[in-house]
Amino acid sequence: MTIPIEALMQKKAAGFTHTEGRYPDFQHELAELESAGEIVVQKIEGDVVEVPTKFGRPKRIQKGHLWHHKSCGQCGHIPGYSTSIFWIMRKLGYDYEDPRDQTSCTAWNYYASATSNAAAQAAVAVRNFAAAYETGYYPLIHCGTSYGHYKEVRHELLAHPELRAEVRKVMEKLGKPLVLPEEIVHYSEWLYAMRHEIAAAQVRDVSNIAVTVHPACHYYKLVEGDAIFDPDVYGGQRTAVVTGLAQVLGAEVRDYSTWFDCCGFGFRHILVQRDFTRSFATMRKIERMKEEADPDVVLTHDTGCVTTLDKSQFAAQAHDRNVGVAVLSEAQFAALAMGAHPYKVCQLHWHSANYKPMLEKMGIDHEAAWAEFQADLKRLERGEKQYLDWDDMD
Amino acid sequence: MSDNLDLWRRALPSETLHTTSTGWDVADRTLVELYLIWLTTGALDMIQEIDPGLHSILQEIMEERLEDEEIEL
Repeated sequence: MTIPIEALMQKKAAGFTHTEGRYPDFQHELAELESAGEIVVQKIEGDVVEVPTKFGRPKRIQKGHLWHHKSCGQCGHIPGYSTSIFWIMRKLGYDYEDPRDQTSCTAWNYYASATSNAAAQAAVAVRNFAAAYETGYYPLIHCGTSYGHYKEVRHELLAHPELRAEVRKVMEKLGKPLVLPEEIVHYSEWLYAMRHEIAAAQVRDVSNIAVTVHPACHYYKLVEGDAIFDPDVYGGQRTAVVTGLAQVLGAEVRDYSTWFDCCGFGFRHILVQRDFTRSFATMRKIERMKEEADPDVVLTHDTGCVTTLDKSQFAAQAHDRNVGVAVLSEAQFAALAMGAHPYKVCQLHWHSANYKPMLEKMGIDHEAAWAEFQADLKRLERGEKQYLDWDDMD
Repeated sequence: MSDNLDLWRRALPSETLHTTSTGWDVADRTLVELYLIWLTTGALDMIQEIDPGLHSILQEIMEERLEDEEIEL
C-alpha cells in the first residue's frame, strides 16, 4: 500500500500545540514518596540545561559529574559508540564516572525471552540507581532500551505500593536504599542539551554531508511525554534529539517516509526471526532512505538501531538490493565533527556498511588514519603497552 | 573481527572495556547482587519452567557465590 505522504505532511503542517496535563506529573509523586520516607530521590546538581518535552514539561539535564550507565550492545558490538560519548564529555571538560558497579538493565530478559518479572526488573533498575547515588554522580543512560525500560519501571514503582515493598526488601538485603533519580536522562538528551557547546568545539565541516535520522522507538515511544520534542525541530512532531544536533553541526538533514518505523531490531525479532529483521531494516528503512533521500550517513541514537541498520545491509547486498550507506550513532558523528580519530576514538572498523565515502566527504584521510591505528596496535603487540588509554587518543 | 577481538579490545581507551568476556568489566560484588535479585524475586524460577537442567546449573553457581559472600537469601 502506498503511504499517503502528502496527506500526512499537510496534517502535520497544521502546527504544534502542547497538550497541558496530558502527561502525569511523576515528579509530584516522587516528592510525595520522598517526604513520606519511602524513597530517596537523587537530585540534579550543578550546571543544568533545561530542554522541552513532548507535552511541554521542561526537563532538566545535568551537564557534568555524570555516572555512565553503559549499554550491553554498544560495549559488546560497537564500542566506538560508548568511547565517543566519553570522548566528547572529556573534550568539553565535564567529569564523569565509568563504573564497574553496574549491571545490565536486563530488559533483554523482559522484552526478548520473558524470563523475568516486575520485581526483578524494578530491583535491577533501583540497584543501579542506588549504585550511582552512592558515588554522588548522576546517572546518564547510554542505551535507549534501558532508558525507556527504566521510565516504565519508575511508573510501576510509583503506581504500585506492593511492588515498592517487594523491591525495598531486596534492597535491604543488598544494603542499599530505594533510589530513583529526579529525571531519567538518555545520553542523546545530554548531547542535545550540549549541542551548542559541541558545535562551538567543531573543527570539521559537515555541511556537505546529507543525513537521515532514525529515531529510536524505545527512546520516544515508551513513556513518550518524557522525551525531548522541540517546536523548532519538525514543529515538535518528532523527537528533536538527533536531528537537532545534526542541524546545529551544519549537516543537511533529509526526510524520508518511514521515519516512524522500527529499525527492524524489535528485540524478539532479532533473536527468533532474524530474517524478518534483516528484511525490514533493509527494505523498509535503508532502501526507502536511499530512494527518497540518498543520505551519506544514517544517524540514530540507540544500540539496537545502529547495529541492525548497519549490520543487516550485507544480506541485502548479496541480493543486489539498493543498500550501502554508513550507519553511525550521532555521538560518533559529533565526535568526528569535533576532530575525533575515526578508528582510535570512533572505532569505525567495528561497523559493517561502507563509511569511507562519508569520511572522504568530511575531509578525513581514512587510509592515513588506519595506518595510525595499526601503528598503535603494533605497539600493543610488541608489548610496549598493555592497553591504549585516553592519552593515546589525540 | 573474531581474529582481532583481543587486540582491538585492548585498543579501546576506556578501562572498563578491556575485556572479551562481558560487555564491560563488572565488579564481582555487582554480579553477586544481580544473582541475589534473580534468586529472591523468582526470576530464576521462570527459567526452571523452560529448561530445568539449565536452571539447576545456574542456581548452584549463584547460591555458591552468595554463600562465599555470606549473603543469606
